[in-house]
Amino acid sequence: MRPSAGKAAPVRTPVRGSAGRTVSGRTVILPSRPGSRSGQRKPWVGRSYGHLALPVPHLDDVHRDLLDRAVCGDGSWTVVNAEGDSEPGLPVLRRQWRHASGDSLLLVVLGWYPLVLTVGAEGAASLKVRRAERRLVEAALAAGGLTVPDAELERVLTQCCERWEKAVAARRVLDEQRTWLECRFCRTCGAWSAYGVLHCRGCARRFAPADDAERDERGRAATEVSAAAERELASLGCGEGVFPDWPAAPPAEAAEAASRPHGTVVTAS
Amino acid sequence: MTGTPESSGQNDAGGGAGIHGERWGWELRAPETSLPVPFEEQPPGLPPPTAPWLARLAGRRDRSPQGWWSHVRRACGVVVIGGAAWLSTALSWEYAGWVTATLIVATVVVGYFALRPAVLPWWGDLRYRRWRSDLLTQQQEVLAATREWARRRSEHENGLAAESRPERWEPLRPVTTHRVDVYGGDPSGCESLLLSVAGSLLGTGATVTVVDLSQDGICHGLVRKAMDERRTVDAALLPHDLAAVGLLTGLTPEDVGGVVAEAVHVSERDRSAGGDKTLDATLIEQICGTLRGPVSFTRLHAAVRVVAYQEPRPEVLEREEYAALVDLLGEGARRSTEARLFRLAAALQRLAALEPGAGADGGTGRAKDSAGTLVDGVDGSPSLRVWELSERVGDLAGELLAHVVFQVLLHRLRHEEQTSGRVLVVVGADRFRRTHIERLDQLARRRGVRLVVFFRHLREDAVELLGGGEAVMFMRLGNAREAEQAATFIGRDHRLVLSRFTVSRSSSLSTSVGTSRSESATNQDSVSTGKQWSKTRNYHYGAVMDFPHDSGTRNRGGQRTTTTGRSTTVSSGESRSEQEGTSESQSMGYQRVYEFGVEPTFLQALSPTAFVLVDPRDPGSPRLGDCGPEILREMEQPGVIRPSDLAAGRLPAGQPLPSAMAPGRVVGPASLPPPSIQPPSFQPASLQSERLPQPPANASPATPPVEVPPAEAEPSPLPAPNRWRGKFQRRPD
Ligand SMILES: [Zn+2]
Repeated sequence: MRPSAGKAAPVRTPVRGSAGRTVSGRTVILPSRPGSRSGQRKPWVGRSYGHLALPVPHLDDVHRDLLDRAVCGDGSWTVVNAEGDSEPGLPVLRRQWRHASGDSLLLVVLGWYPLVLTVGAEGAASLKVRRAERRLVEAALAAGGLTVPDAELERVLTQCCERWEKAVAARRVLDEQRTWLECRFCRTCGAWSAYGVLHCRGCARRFAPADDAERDERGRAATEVSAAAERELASLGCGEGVFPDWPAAPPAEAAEAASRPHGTVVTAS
Repeated sequence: MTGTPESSGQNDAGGGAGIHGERWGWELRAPETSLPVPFEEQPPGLPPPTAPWLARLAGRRDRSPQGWWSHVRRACGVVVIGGAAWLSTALSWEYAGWVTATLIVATVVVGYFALRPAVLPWWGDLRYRRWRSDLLTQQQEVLAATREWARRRSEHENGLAAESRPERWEPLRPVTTHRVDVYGGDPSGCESLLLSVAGSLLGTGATVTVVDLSQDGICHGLVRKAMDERRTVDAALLPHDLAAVGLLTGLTPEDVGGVVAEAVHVSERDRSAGGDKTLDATLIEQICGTLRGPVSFTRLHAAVRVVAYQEPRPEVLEREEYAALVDLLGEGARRSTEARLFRLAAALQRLAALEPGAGADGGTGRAKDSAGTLVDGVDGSPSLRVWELSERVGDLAGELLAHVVFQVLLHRLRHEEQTSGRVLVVVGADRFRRTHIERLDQLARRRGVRLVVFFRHLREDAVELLGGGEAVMFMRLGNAREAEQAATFIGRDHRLVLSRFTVSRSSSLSTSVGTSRSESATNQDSVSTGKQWSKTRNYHYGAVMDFPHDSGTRNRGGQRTTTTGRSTTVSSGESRSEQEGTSESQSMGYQRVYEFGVEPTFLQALSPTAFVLVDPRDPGSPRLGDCGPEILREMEQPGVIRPSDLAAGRLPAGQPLPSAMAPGRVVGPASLPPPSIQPPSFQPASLQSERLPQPPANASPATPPVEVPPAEAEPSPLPAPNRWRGKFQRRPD
């Protein structure tokens, strides 16, 4: 996950399933997706903003830093109120960068699971702002992200809401299964003890091998349920199912895909 | 505080009460975690999207034709129609005004479509900024709601955390209040145990009698402690204080006959059947009957010799006594009992030789007033009474004296009144027959005296006694066969959890043994296996939800301990990690448990102060305890034991005691050589680490399956409560 090297460097983003072609333009051209009409047009009506989806559940530190580096890479941009936007324990919902000349760029999180965000100029969309915005979009694409056209944004955000509900439910399952992963139950007195103990916390009796077997069995079942919930969370978080052929394959697979002849090269001018 | 639900429950509540009650040792209690009740409240999500204008604008833009040619066409259209409108103003016919108006309208319409591609982006930007501004306002509400939600969830988790308890030591005692048999252990370990048991019982107000026949000075620590605590102590070293103890004082001739005959017969058990015990008893009884003054071994020996050999009157016998003895047996009877008289005389000669100043004062008049009782609880009697068999006594005489002492013990117990709060400890009971121990058990039970019997080994009669009492304790059993027998008795399907304290003590001991007895280091090779279990809890930082949860990470590894001649302990392990996690997950804490199956090697490698308590009345039996005095010190004054103390060998068992002893009547230990407990010698860390359990190569770095106990001074070998406080908390980073 490296930030874009700048506008001169071509960004190679292999996209599965798209026909091989090279597109150049002033802005990054969206890779073609089946069912998307925006292949030949700029994805956004306005000129001063853009929407992005990233294959992560929320704006975490890694991606926040990535975007920071992309915008502030040339040294003339600084993050505004970095501490205030990342209160411990609270999600990051916005990020603002300001140029030495006073122009500023604002990022707002629109949805989770996957992360959908919009980035746009605050005030006049000067050339500096548009360049910074382009760097940010390139970095997001390099990190496996995707541009979300205006026409699709509402649908994607509606899906994000539904997926958020599912993610909360999956978290709930994980929480419930913790009981069997961290504790053991005593049939004699009904007390709960820590998973690995030999004696019951309630009645002080020594757990019999049969109790251990039962605990292990329960633990195994809980591990399986937890693993399924984790897989679902991961799938929701990376945005599987929101767009066809997105997210891109994992790194190893992506490297393999890149070596194939039909890998798409998206070039930013 | 083993076992019983009521006792465990009560003592769990207040650890302080347990420190001062009866305590045999300490049991390491696993940390108690609270039941992870999920937080019911759903975290606030982001506001639902409302941006229909975006799709509308995009639709409009998409409907307009693309490409430069369409722009040219629209521009041309505007020019043509605009030009036509302008030209139409020159017309002068009646409807010219209408034509111009129509053309102007057409120009405007075409102009709109021609300009729309340029206007839409501007309009889109304007709408976008308005929409984003509304969104930011809504998100402030979300953040506020999330802040509140996080606070409530934090309260919920704090409430749960309050129910959990860290790993800790808790006092351990058998449920049974009658007899406990202790097997194995080296002198230092037994001394620690005796100190722990009897010391704590003295603290509860009990009257303790210790008969230490081990000749290892096991009772010394207890005597010092009792004197330090300014308790009344009556300690006697046998045979030096034989006269003061007055073993035969208060015994009828019949009793003396029984005691002496039994002692002589038991000590002759290895030889062929030594004749008629009843005859011996009768002979001694008759001889005693002729003695007018107090009976001592010296006088008894002289009397037997007079009867057997018709010797001239010895000094220790009165004239009347001599006259009666000479005429005691007729010639025929004397000839038929000559062999027995010789044996009795020989045995009594050994005993008489043990009496100090034998022949000088005849041992008369020195018996104490209290000598007639043993475990009396009358006011004014000492709270601790000790009879210790000196290590300086020779084997034969010592054996004989031990049996006499035991018989006297039985006799005195037989004549005791039944009272409560009395404890009798017999150390070094290996030399006694099963029937005698059972008789002692029976008498003690009838008289309400608690009985604790220490056996050095688990062999011969001790094996037959195994389990005959109520609770059984096993300390370290070095002998493979004894360990095998004990493991079978405990039950091999049981698992025991070693503490780091015990592990470090054990490994330091095995190192020292290895260096001092290197010549016998290859005698036996055995392998014990254990299970090691550790669990990693991961925190996943999710949007709004940094829910901690166990991702199912479990390291289970086989643990293999190779014991070679009980001198080296090498542990290697395989760890299979089932960790799954993402780059977001962070390992927050871990928990290590040293679990061992009950194998002979486990008992052979136990730390000197560790013991396994098997109590049929305790549902939690068997339990692993440790009677190391450091634990009590740590409980009373946390932080006393520094990790470096254990690592450097400064602290263990034989810590010097204060030289200024409390005033008390010291008969025994003051004149004895210092206790035989030596602090185990330690290897330099580099040497020692080779013998210590090594973490397996493929183990997860966050959860080494076996912590290297004492070689490094860094980690505390004692799991003091504060060492575990950070567990399950977020690691600051
Ligand atoms: Zn229970």
